[in-house]
Amino acid sequence: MKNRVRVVKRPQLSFLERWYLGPVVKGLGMTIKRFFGVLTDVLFRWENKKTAITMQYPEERWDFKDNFRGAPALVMDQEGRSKCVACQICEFVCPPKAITMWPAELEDEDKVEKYPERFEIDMLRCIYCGYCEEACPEEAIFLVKEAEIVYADRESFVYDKDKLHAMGGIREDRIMKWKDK
Amino acid sequence: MSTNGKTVNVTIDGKQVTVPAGTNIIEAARHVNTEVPHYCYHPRLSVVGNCRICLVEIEGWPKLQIGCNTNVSDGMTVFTASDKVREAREGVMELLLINHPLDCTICDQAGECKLQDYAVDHGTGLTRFAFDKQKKPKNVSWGDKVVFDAERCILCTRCVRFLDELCGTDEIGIDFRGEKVSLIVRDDGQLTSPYQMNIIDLCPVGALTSRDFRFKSRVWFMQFANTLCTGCARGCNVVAGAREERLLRMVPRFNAQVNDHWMCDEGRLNYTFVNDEDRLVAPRVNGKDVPYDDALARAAAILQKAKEGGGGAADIAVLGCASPFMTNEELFSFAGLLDALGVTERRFAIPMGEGDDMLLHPEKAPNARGARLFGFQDAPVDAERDWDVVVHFAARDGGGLPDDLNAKSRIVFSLQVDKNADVNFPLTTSFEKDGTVISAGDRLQRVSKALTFAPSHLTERVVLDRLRGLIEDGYQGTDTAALALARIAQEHAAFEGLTWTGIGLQGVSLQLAEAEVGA
Repeated sequence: MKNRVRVVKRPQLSFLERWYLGPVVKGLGMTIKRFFGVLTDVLFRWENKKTAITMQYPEERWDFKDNFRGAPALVMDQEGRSKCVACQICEFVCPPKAITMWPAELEDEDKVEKYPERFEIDMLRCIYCGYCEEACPEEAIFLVKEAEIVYADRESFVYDKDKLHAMGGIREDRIMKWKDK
Repeated sequence: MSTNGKTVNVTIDGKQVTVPAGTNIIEAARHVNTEVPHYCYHPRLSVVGNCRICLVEIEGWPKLQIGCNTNVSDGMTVFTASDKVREAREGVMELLLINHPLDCTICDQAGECKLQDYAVDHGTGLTRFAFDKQKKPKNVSWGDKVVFDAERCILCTRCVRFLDELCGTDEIGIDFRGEKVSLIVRDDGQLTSPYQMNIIDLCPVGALTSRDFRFKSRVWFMQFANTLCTGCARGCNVVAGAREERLLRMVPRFNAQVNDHWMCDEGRLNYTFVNDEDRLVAPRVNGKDVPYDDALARAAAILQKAKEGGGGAADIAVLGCASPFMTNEELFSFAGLLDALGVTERRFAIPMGEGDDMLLHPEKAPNARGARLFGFQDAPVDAERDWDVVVHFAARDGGGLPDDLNAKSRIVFSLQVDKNADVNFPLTTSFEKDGTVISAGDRLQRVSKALTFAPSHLTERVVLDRLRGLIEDGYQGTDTAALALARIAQEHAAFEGLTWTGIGLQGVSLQLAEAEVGA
């Protein structure tokens, strides 16, 4: 046991290092340099700012990457009709059970039989895992670049079908299930 | 299949088994727990051998044989999973799936589809078919119960054979030729058989789906319970499927002694009363919702008064009216409560309807035999008499008693609100409780809980036991239906030696005649 103990020698500080004044002056210099840099940015060249890095939220927003996982949304085809066929696989795969769906039968259409009469996602429950997007066999649900979901009451967090379609928008696709399966 | 008591010895996948002569290979393989895949074969239908998925290899035979139409012979050696068989099945699966629309996403059969199962177990997962798939009619209405999808159909003709051989109506046939081949319905294209929905269960794929269950729920969301249909006295064994405490469908469960593989459409669709929005949820006293304790206290006060007055004696007249929808355990508790009160007037009424010579029984209630066994009489109530206290279990339609009955106090158990009741307890349907009933042919069978009615809900058996505890010192009820059954088994000769697990999922036959004489 004794042989395993290794005494580590503490590194000794030099005289200047022990005195502290040098590093303090160096740090203050950096602060002053940035102060005047930002001041110049704000006063004369805000459009081409060089020093300031603060984002002016909410006027400025982050440009999310393409694989960003935001809120889930439903997409429509070129003719503005829902791509969702209410197969309920997203509802099944959703780990926090945020998705709820009420499927119904379409009586008049001859190509499409089933559609979601109601489709709700509880954004308070959603954990943005993206399983719904991965599982969807119809490519009807996607995680969009939407991260700011703030309301004062709980009911508003439950997004209905219309709201989800508005968020998802139209997605160009060569498969048009309403025209030809 | 005439066996004459002869047996043959066969070897299936290296396992020796002795089966009756005349057994086919699919059934023989079941004896060694080997499943030979099959679509068109069904044990109760004639063998056609047109799906070709049950091909097996037999030693000494040059070509593969279909398991459904090949009977075993002595000394036969069968291989159900050899390379040759596997290759043949892959080929059959590829051919079956060539024109399949692959709309599993919206198909109600998904999750219990043999095409899905066998594609995973025996398919290649790939297709070499590079051309346009055959387009056939979808969403074809075959009447108000069955929907047909021609693209999904694999033409196994199970539905054709069922309606021909077992219903005798012969309504479906195969028409057109080659790749256009499809099923059609005779005359105006509407099915009429009262047993037509069995073809939905028979269909191994999603070609036939139920209009009633269509798109209501995917099967993997549902919870299933092995219970009984309580639409008539037959007591067909069913699997009840519920989701989020709503009953969504019933499908028949095999019981060779009762309903075989089938059930009637009337029973299958007779479940919607369970999901009624206007059902009574909480007990009511004088038209107001109250907690169970208050309602029990009020009911006990009424009964206590009746008990002190002498029960069924001339001074205070008490009527106990049971319903044939109650389980044996509830009837036993009710009879015990009436015993404690000294009530002799015990009645019940059987709702009658039409029967047929297949499954449908004219008695439209599951447990009239049980009600008789526990001392209730199927006789009209004396409407002329002035009753002081009536304890009434309403039937499903609310009936059972004459409308103009004179009663001072009423304790009513009902599905809907009863405005005349002093104390009104909510009734539980047979899908919301455990228990036993005595079906036609004196067969004791279990009903099981498929869904929970309401979180705070007490079943009638618990209410009756608590009521008896309030008026009879020292009486203790039982916690579960199984324990209640054990108590019945001690007191009734007909139930002697029976236990909850002993009854099992298939039920047992009772010897009622001698027991009733003995009692």
